[in-house]
Amino acid sequence: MSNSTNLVVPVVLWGKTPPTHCISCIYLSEDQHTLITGCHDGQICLWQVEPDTFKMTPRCLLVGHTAPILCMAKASIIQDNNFIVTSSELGEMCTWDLVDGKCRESVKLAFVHTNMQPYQMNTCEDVRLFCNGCYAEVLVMDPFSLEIIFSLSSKVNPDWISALYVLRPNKRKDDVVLALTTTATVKVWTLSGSETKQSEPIYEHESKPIRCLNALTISCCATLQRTVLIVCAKYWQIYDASDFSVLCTVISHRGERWLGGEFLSLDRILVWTDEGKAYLYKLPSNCVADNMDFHKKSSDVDTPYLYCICCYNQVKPLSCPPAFRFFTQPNVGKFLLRGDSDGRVLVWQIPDVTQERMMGAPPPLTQQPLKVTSIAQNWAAVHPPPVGILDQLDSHDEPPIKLTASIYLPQHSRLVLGREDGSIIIVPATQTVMLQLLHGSHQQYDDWPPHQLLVGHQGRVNCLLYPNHVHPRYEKCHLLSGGEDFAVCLWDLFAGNLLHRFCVHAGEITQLLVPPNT
Amino acid sequence: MRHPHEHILTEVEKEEALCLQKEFEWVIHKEVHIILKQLQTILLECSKRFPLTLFGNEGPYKSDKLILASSQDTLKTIVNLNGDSISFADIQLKVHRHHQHQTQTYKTSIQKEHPWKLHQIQDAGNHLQFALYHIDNVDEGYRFKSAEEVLHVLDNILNCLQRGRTSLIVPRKRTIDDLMKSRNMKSLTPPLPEDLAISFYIQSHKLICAAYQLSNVQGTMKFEQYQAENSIPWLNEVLVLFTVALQLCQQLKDKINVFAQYKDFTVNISSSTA
Repeated sequence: MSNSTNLVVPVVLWGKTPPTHCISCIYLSEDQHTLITGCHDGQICLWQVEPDTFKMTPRCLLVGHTAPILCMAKASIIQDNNFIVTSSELGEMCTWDLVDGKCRESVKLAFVHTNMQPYQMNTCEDVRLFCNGCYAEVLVMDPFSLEIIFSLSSKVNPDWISALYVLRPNKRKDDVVLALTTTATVKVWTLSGSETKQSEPIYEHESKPIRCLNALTISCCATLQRTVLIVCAKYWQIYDASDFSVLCTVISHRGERWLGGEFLSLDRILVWTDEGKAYLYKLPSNCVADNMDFHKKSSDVDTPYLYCICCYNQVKPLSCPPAFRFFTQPNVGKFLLRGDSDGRVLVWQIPDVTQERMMGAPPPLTQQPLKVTSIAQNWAAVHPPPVGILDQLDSHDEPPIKLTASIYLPQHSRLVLGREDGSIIIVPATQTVMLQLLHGSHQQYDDWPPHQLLVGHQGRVNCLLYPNHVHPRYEKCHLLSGGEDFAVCLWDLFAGNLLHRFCVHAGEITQLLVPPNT
Repeated sequence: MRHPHEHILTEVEKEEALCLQKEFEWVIHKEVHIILKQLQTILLECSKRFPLTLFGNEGPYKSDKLILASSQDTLKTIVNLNGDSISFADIQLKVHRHHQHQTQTYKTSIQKEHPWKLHQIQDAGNHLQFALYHIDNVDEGYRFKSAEEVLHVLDNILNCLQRGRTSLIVPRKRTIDDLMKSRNMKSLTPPLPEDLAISFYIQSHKLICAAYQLSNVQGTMKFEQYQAENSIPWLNEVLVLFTVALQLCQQLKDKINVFAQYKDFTVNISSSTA
């Protein structure tokens, strides 16, 4: 915080309690040094990761989105290109630099994505994002300019696409987009790589209705590309990619719903659930593309065999389904990441269970996580604890009163803070920062400028406004506050008294705005 | 030594806290399920109004025939609405030509080979469907474990309903350029002159046909707008049901929030009372 009007250096005083971080989306950077978690409040946390030990330390909190983060994807195939694209429930998209945490590009679209697959097309130097969501097309976007390069349309039963997978079939030069609509129509587009926004509408080449409404994910087995895994909340299924016939189905366990899954190899799959567990299955021979029995009718004796369960015994139940991400460390092994509602991150190593160990179908193994960490745990490990703005006011017996609104007045170099109990406190900004962040003899002084206390609200202070900051037509001494108590208070900042208290009968005041000039 | 009054007060408070705790468990274990069931009934009713294949709704669907007319009949349209698409439309537009000082009439049509899809209807239907899926995902005998868990489910449902309602009430903004280049414009038969554009969209319960006449006034592009509209009967019912469901859901959320502010309130999972 500087007194010069053209330079404001943001300083964060975190306080003793960690920020809530209910994870909705999780991703590990290509170089495996940065973990990215997006949460339901729209913030994104960057964690420093030691790839050998999976020690994770929160490093940065990126603020920019105003709604839950729904999906994220890497922006480049280049290993040390540290950019990531995130997309929120309001259609906001951002490209972030993972090194310094800066937002490089942002747009707000009328389209809300639920999934983005980064994919390098045949003719392209780097990846493009294949997006699907609450709209009836597939949008192909540039991860750095965030422009729509082209879109894929449907001729037959156009509807929202609920799951999508892009792949290049073996020994072919064109790319294939495999997509499933919410109403269970599989669609296939074949792309040559020369598509542009101006070109004629690109329609699907094939379209076939199947019986799996509202699929969550679709993925193709990488080895032979003949089998497809489709995960729906109540079951997962293996399909033959050539004619989209069902080869096997597994219903979810009681009280659990599938969330997603991946092929581990030709005959092994990994699926995870909203209860925060992951299940490993060995596929029956009619689902394995290089087997003699492939595509034959499944027999009762040969069903998917559950050979391992990844779980974690959490004390507190999860308040919403966690986010998962599967990744491979070359030459080390396969791993599964989970981020949950308590800002906790788990890593499981996916065990390589040999064929011999599965002989006689023993009961499934249980795999405990390799590493468990959380924001709260990292917070507790900081000594002395992170300082807060009003630490000097806290008594040690009672829990501190939560801050619910704050504004900074650069002209006065003062910080105005609204609290949960309805009080408003004004403190000198620079001194507060000095007092909390710098160690030295000044901490012993007892002649600090006193703080001001404004009392007038009977409940949480939701918002604060210093209108003079926006337009000089407003008095320099006026400060406004709005609260849970349906009231707007007008304060004299210099005298420290309440000038007016306006009460509406409509409801809580959530925001105060200065009207435009005209 | 404690003051006797203080002691009595804490006893009363203890009892009150116990009552609140019991009430909380009742809300979480019983009331939530009852309201979700009611909500499901309302949303299924809503979904039956849609002429689309949705959760608990399978054809056949009747089509609507609507006449849209503007004041002084500058714009007049007869529309066949089939599901979420205009399968046929007869459009007649009277345009004043300044340089010719006369009014010219243009006629065009939408043919069934190139229907005009009203994606707003599909979007609303899909959002509604997702709300139903969120309810369906809560198993009948499921015992919620915390207020946060219920709030998450309710937020999901509320978000879906809000988005569904918004997609009908607030049409997606398009530039005149996008409209001119759209596939729908290109498939009008016969095509309209280059300075005219037509758009169909939904605004709350009404189907609106808007016509735009572009003109170049001293180098800047300007456009005049004509609008014709008519109400779609089933959309009105859909909007009412959306609103009723939103209210019901919000009320339950408020109820849960009352308990959620007491941080030491937890549900005894093993308890078989409630």
